[in-house]
Amino acid sequence: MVIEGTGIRALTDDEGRYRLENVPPGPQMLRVRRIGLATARIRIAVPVEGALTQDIALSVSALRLREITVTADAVSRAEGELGTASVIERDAIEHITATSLAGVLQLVPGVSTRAPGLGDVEQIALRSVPTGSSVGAVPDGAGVSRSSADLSAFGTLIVLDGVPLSNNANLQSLGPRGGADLQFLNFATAANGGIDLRRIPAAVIERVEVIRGVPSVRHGDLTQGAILVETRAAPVLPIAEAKLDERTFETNVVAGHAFGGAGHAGTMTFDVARTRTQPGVSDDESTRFAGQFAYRAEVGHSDVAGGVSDPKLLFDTRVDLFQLVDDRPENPIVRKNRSSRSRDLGVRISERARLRLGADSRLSFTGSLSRIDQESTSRAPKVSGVQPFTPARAEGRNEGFYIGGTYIAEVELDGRPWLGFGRLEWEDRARWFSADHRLFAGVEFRREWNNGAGFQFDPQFPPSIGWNGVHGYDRTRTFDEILAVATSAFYVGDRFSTRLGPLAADIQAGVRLDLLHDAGSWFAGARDQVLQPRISIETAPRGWLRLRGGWGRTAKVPAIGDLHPARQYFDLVNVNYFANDPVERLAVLTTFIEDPTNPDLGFSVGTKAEAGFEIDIGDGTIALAAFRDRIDGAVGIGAIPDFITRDHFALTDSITGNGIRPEIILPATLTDTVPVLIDRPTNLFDQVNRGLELTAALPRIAPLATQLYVTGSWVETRTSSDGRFFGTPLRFSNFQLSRSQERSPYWEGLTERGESMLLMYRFIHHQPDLGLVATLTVQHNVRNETEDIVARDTLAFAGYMTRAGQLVPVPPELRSEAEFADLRVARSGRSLPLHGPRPDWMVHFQVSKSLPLDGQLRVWGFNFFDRRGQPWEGDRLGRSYAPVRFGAELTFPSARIFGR
Amino acid sequence: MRDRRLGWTLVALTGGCLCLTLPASAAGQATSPRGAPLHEELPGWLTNWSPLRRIADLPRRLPAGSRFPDLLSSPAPRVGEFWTAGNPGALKRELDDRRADFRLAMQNASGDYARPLDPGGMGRVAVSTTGWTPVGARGAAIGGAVFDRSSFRDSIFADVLLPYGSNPFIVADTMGDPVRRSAVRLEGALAWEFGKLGVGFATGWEGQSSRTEASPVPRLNRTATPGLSAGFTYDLGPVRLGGFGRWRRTAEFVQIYPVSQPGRIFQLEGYAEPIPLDIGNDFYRRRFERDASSFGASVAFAALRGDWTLYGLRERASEGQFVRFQVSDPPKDTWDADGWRFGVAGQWAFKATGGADWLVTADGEYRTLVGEAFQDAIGGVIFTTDESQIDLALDTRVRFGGGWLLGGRAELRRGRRDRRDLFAEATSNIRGIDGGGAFELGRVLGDDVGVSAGIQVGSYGAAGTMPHPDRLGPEYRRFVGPALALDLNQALVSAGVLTLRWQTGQTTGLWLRAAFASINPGSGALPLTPAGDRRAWTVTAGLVLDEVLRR
Repeated sequence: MVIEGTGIRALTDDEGRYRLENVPPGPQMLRVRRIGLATARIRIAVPVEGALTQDIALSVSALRLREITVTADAVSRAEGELGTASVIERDAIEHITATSLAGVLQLVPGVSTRAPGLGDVEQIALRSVPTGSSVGAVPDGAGVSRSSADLSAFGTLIVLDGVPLSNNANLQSLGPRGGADLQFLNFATAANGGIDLRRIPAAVIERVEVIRGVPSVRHGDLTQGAILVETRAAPVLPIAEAKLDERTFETNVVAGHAFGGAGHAGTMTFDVARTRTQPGVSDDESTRFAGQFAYRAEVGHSDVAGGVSDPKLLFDTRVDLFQLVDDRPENPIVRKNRSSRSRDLGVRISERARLRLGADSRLSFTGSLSRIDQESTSRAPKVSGVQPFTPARAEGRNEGFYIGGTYIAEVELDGRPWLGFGRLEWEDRARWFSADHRLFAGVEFRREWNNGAGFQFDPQFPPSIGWNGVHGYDRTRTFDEILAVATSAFYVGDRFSTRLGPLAADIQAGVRLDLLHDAGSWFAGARDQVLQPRISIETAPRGWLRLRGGWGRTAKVPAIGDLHPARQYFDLVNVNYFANDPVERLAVLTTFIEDPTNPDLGFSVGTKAEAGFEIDIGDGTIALAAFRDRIDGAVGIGAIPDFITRDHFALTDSITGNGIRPEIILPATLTDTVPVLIDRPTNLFDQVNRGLELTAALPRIAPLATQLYVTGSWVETRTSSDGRFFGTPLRFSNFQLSRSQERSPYWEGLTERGESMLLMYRFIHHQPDLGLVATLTVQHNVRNETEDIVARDTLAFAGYMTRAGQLVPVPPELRSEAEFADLRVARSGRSLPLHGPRPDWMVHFQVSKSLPLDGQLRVWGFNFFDRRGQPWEGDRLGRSYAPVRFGAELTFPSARIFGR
Repeated sequence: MRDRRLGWTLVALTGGCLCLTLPASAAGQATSPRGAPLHEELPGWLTNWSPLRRIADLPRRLPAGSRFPDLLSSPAPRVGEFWTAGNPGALKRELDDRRADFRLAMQNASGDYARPLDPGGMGRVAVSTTGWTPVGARGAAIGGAVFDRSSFRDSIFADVLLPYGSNPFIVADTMGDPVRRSAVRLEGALAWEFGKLGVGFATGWEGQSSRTEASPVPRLNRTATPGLSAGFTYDLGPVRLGGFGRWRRTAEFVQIYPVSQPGRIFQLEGYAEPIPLDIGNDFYRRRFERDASSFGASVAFAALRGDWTLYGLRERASEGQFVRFQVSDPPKDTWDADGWRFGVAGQWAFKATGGADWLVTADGEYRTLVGEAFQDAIGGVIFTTDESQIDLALDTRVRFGGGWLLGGRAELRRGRRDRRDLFAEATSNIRGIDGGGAFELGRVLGDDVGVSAGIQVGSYGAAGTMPHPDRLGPEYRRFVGPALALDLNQALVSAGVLTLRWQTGQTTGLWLRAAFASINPGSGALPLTPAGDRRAWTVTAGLVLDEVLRR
């Protein structure tokens, strides 16, 4: 018996009686577990004075429990946390159609529903709206996509079994200059965004806590929120599950066994899933294997109050293995010579150990080492005009060769990101000044690196060539030359409960210091540091009313690829003498190498603030939270103006057809400058997310055996850039190549705004006597708007760039002068006007039914009216719902087979 | 015009009681070679309550003869406002027991006896479950689910899932690639009684998704059909009156990708020569939205030593066809139909001399339908239809001493279809009679083993007229004419079934059932009639709970 979010627990006696003492007054969640029976979670209202009697019924099937909770719990708090959270238990996970963690998170306010399957990369961005197109708020001229959704997903922390996952060392990206030339080469990748949630099967998840509010100082490396995932690790009898729909097949097995006394238990989970993304049209498929071995050992038992066994020393060891493959094979008919494949094969060893120091003190250690072998290949035909090319890797003038025509370009990215993580935390309970305190302090070390073979291609058939080298050509790169990133953190916090007369209050406060070290070593100096005070307060002025508020700072370390970007090569053409006879051809290029490393690049800093309340209405609850989250200095690619020089030469003989190759005549007849833009990672984005979140579990309508749950969110996201914009790539290339054009305008400022209002109505019809739970989910898209807020008129330019790479600002009052007539051009590129489709809705259902032998059958239909979505004006940019999908899931518990 | 004389032949039955049995699965297959979901394999009284039942539509089926009684694998038929008329308000009144069954079926059918829009061959694996139970003292529930995965091969030209309904607007192509289809059907009903009042509702959903395999012109097709029904009953002395309504909506979506070679589509609109539509560089998309509703009354009473149920329903259906992707577009073409449905059923249970237990069930239904198709391009009605159908069935089963079981079933179906194409100025008038008898003999050996075997024979005959093939175009002769010619030709149906049941517990049983069915065309075929026969076999394994095996 556990009061969730507290350390209050007890065991029942032989007759099933139990007693929990010192339970905080107000609404609480009582969780009851017993091996072989379904977990029961019961909402209780604890009086300020006196005692509460609560009878509990358990069943072998959760479907036969009256208190089953099949949606995210609005009022449950994450373990040891006070920030607004959604807690999703195993029962709820079994009642949604989810293949991975991404599907489970559809129970969180503001997250759209989705059909199960592996499909494409799945990321989560808490309390944020994707704004604009996927091009995102990136300066023109820098061809990388980094959308507001990427920024938010990158700042969402995922913690698996107590240990953070990280995407910081994921380098499976074609780089900042890959966008324009390499757009025909692509593969599935989560680089520059959040964790690919497909790696975590929904079937093995025991509990998910989504801290949308201010997390405790125990959690770092985030700006948006934290998602804490606990997988199934208990001595459970084998349970097998199979899921099937038209696109996806998944099967999994969970089995655990206690041995060597009650203090030792091992659990193994396996999951295999396959999704055909376009059945009937292509052979594209995504497959996943995931497995985990968990071992839990308790050493030195002793009993404490409540009859609960509290070991002296506790070890929780996990070994995780997963493989995720996205395969888009060549189709000789439809997609000749075009294919891609990406594979992530990861292994992680983690340990959570806890040592009891006396009755109220604990010392815990959390450590892990993880490695992912990432392979991405893409192959596609490339069509290019014949042009000079050099694969030189050093600066200087070289003779090049001609490439062009049609050839098969192929790139390979082999990454091997590592994460070493260790945390030591001390916790102590004490009672000071009439308040119960739970003090904790910890130190955290983290080191991430990538030693993969890197970005590789055949230099004779380069995937990335542009016009005249003014935008640069990429070179191969091995990742093991990249320095590791080392961070450390120190934190101290306190969680205390106190009563001020009739008022009960919980306060969680602390401060965290994150350090980003130089040279990949904890022993080097810190290149950046962020102090992060955080506080959350919860009070219950009435038994039925709870108020909550919080404020805190957070920080997110930049990705390795941004801290140590690839060198940028510019290969300016000095001589381009192309004759029909290859013997007569001469190509001379000068290679310049620019290092875009930004020594000032540092943490993105988040500021989270929220306030809200919860009201109990009978057996229902309504919770409302208002929030304002801000990220300062999110990392994007800034375009830094510069210039390089180009020599022009006369040739010895330029008569074609004589079989003689000309030579250049030194010295150069002319030297001019070519303006260039360096793609430098910069803390240039600011993002503000504000909104309201509603979670309501309305009182059960007993005659209909139905309860309505409503979740809703209104979120507005504004992403602003400090970067400068130099027009479209074509416009800027013309400026680079035209010696007669002395200057080119640039613009400043861009804000992308997105607004979303999403309501989810979940009707839960529950017939415990029948072992039947039917869920009807209505997704109501009330509002979806996006726009680019930017001046587009011809006087909007901020200044101009010279051929020497200098920026000359022009004050607004002078921009209409005649001397700036050549600069008065409409801003090209992004100018997305306000748009948004009309309100719309779609519906899903799931029916779960207990079967003989304790099995369970689930049938689901996604978008079962097959609604396609409403168009916006003129059919443009309309909302498009995924088409109807349906499937079934069957669970085979083996309790009967194994004798229970 | 060609005239055919009525060619129905009365089935000669060897037993006194008519007990036929077209092996449920095989019969269903033979009836719907395109792949009817498994729920159609269940006895009709088990599915009459379904909120997904088709409304205001009289689909043209291949001859089926009759069902088998299924002595060992299906429960005995029931009669009542819920079981016969489908009024969910009567569920609690007519259900006081508990039962659940699970079925796994494998089917295969092949042969040339098929219409142009039917597949030549098919294979299927399907799983279904059905169960009912009282809920508390005043409630009752019934529900079921079917999962179906089918593969069709050999010239399946239809781009819609059910090409032979009353609606003349059909999309077809000539690609003929193999098709794989998945389907799920889920439905349930809940009912309560409050004194003399009974109320109930039923809801269900059916989804189907099909796609071509390894095709240079892939075709995707899907439907989503939610359904809802609600009703009540009220006891007035010895008579129970009821009222009920039903609604269902189908959204069907067809998409064709000409990925590596152009495709050619035909939008059939009746008997007029369809204009081919070549798709080269763009998708072909078509969306159909069908709304249908019905409402009516039912009455149940006891008379003549039997239980009786009568009902009547008014039915309406409309369909809009949309050529664009989003739902807000106005429909291009529309189909509207309405009709009536009247039915009666009676059941007698008695113990005859010698101690044999008899159960006799008779039911009949009469349906009418009038529909018209409006074409947007012409701005007027281009096709009308006036149809009716009578279905009669007699089911008798006897339990003798010594574990012997005997079952017989006879079915007779008479259809009238007067269809007129105003644009092509062509008409068809077809009167067809489809009937058959099935006989099944079984024995319970000891306490826990049962075995039964049965045969069925049936015949189809028709009279009427159809548009002359020479008068209309080549696409008519390819897509439309053969189907009408088949409707006008004689056919013979025969089937056999063997069932084995093992009672593993007091109320738990396992059964295995194998069935074979064939259709053979009669002599004197019309021009355009497909030649050859059609054969289907089915193997079904089942688990039944809460049912004893009675000797």
